[in-house]
Amino acid sequence: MAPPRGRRRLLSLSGFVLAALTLLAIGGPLRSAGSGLARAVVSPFVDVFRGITKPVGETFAGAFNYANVVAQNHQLERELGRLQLQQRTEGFEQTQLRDLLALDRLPFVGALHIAVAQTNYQNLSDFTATIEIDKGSSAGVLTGMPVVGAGGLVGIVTSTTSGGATVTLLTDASQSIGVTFGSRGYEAVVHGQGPGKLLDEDFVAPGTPVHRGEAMYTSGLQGGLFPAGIPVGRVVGTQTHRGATELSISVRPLADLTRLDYVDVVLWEPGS
Amino acid sequence: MSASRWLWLIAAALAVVVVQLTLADELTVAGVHAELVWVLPVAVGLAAGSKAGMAAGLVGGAVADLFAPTPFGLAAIVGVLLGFAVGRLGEEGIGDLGGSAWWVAPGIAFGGGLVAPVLFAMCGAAIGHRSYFSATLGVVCVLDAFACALLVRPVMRLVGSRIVDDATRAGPLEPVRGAL
Repeated sequence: MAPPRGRRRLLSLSGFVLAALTLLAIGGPLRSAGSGLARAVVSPFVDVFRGITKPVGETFAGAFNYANVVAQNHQLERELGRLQLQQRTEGFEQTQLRDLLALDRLPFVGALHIAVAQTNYQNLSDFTATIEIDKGSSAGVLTGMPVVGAGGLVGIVTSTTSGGATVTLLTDASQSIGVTFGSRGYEAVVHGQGPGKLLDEDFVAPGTPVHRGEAMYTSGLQGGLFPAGIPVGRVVGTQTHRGATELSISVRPLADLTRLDYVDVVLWEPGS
Repeated sequence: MSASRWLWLIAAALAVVVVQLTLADELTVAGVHAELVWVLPVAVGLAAGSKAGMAAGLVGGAVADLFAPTPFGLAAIVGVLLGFAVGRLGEEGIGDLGGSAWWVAPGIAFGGGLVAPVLFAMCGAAIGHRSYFSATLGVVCVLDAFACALLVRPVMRLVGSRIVDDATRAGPLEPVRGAL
């Protein structure tokens, strides 16, 4: 006798949930096998359709993020002015930089080895911020190594294969980075708030002098997760709430995380 | 389900990924975009019942997981649960393209799209990814809900009719012959 309909339905549900749980349990190996094949199938269609949909997306972005576009435009104008000034003084600054490096080699520029990697894929999930790079354990890239590029700290290597690695960006909500700022070397911890969001800073006592535009660098203290002196971000705003025991500071990453075609993996192991 | 129906589901899931990568990823609001992965189980569930809905959730979720940095299989679990819940309504003929009001299917899809990201974040948290409960989760829910509501009827027309198995659903009520 066939089981009643309700029981069959429950059996089907259990079977499908079990299948999904099996996928979750197998995880990595199945993804790496299927991912390449799926991308190979989809990418020709994506290339064709992207040509059509990109203007639609840009129009939408312009309409829904108009305030951002205006703010970005003002920022770009300021940046242009700054760059023009910088260009004029470039010769002088280059000499100064060479002299400074010769006198006091910066930790992550001078003393440490790096591996230049190309970004294969930038994940655009709403939940995590990661990129995939083309250098892996065969090039000396290990889990936990810092990744820099495009003007500052980009993130940290969170998994590797022999020919590639996944880098979790510093904006990911799981990231916490010990930083130092100001002439007196104040310490704080910045946290990622999710893809595309500003970083949030903790452990800064009210009254600490923090200035808009002030740069923050890795402190090198936080259990040795990052070497000291890597530029992390710039202060964009501070707030002091009445009765609060901490300053609320918003920090914009110095690295342009939207343009990560190439990055440098600092071949530095945490705790070393 | 027959092999041809599974193949249709895989093709539909890949098509959803193409639309996701080319269009949905470009349309960002407050830094986030709609995830179209939930459209397939909702549409197939409404059109073809709970079993087909769960199959669509499993296939659609697994294919989407291949392109996302989140744990492989997580979207598949949520897809299966969503496909089952919506499919139960579909089996009763609720949201049927022919028998229900035009707004019923989009309404159910809106609810499904609203709940799915929360379910995803909860399942993620259960396996240690508590950061999925971020400040932007509310925006993601609203965007997913609108995307599901907008796309459910076209997807039901395109995919549902090819997946539907009349034996598994009651369909809209028909007058009993000779009753009038």
